[in-house]
Amino acid sequence: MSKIFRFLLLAGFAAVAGLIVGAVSGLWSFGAFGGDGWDGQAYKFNAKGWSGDLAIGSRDAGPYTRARIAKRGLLALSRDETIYFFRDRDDAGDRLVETCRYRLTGGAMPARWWSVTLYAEDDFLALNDDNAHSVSPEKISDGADWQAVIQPSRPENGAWISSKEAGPFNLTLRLYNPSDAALERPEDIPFPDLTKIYCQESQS
Amino acid sequence: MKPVQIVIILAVFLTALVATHLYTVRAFPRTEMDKVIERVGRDGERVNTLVHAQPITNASRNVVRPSPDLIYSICVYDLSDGPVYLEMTLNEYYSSLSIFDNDTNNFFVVNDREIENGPGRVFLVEDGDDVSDLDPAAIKATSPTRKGVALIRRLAGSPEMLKAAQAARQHDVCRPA
Repeated sequence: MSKIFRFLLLAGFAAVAGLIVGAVSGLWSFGAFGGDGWDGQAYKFNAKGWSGDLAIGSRDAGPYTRARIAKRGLLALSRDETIYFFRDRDDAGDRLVETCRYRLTGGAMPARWWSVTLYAEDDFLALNDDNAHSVSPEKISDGADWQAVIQPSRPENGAWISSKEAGPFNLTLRLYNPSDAALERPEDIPFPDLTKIYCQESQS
Repeated sequence: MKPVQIVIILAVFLTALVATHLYTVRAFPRTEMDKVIERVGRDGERVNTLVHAQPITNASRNVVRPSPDLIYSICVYDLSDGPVYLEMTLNEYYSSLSIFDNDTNNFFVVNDREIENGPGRVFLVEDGDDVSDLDPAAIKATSPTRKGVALIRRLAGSPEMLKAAQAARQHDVCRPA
């Protein structure tokens, strides 16, 4: 094999390897294979366990945010209409899982309407027929301060988000028509707390 | 192998890697939008017409993260033959009409409180379209891309809301202008 042929062959292999690694790293970078992807390009806003990016839905969104939202929240509205926040861990930093019970507590939200919705790891609603995938003002009867439990079985009373068949799950907080203050200082939004009550495997 | 050849091979690898990485990230949103346009538009059969989605359940798997507290109506639009007319009927609860270009940008949105003397009436046009014959009282929204998706969201988190939303959306419109 001539030296020049070997060189060209190696260059061809290098090009193909670059294409493969580039495609895989591109998909991985925004979480196409699950997980958070490239941490350096994760959501730009983090407060009280909730993450978000107010550029979602707009031309201001960078390519990684745009790809992440296409994967996990296609057709999301721009900040003028709605802002979105996400979390997949409780206040102690542990991954949210179906086998644990959680208490979600909050107050009046700075928006015309809000909701907290549970999604399974595939970013669709959990495959249960409990019809309890979310809480929103019309499902809360305790006034401004509210709480809900997240667990696989229906509680005796109170607001409930069912985690049945959810496996590892995540929550999305939607604020429709957010106040000007919420848009200007999202870090001051009174985000709901999420406390683990106990887990089936180990009491805590 | 000469050092210069090794450098060239490494350069080829890195160039291919970076170019493919960036292309993959930038192309992904449009690919996902194309899937929605094909799925909802049924490969062109249901274009420029409104499709009322069923109330959201765990079986709703066309678009990720649907809200179970909303009910959606969707219109895949194609401006190849001219402007498209959209109309959103109002009820006493939240509703919005949002429009997304083929690159996922939400370039237009209007909600019930922003519309006086409803319904909300929007002509969706392309840059350069002649709009002189279109009703001047209606909103004009210019789409950055020829194809895209219009979405009407309505609050439907209680039986009363759902009933009101389902009644209102029967009067919504998406059709060629």
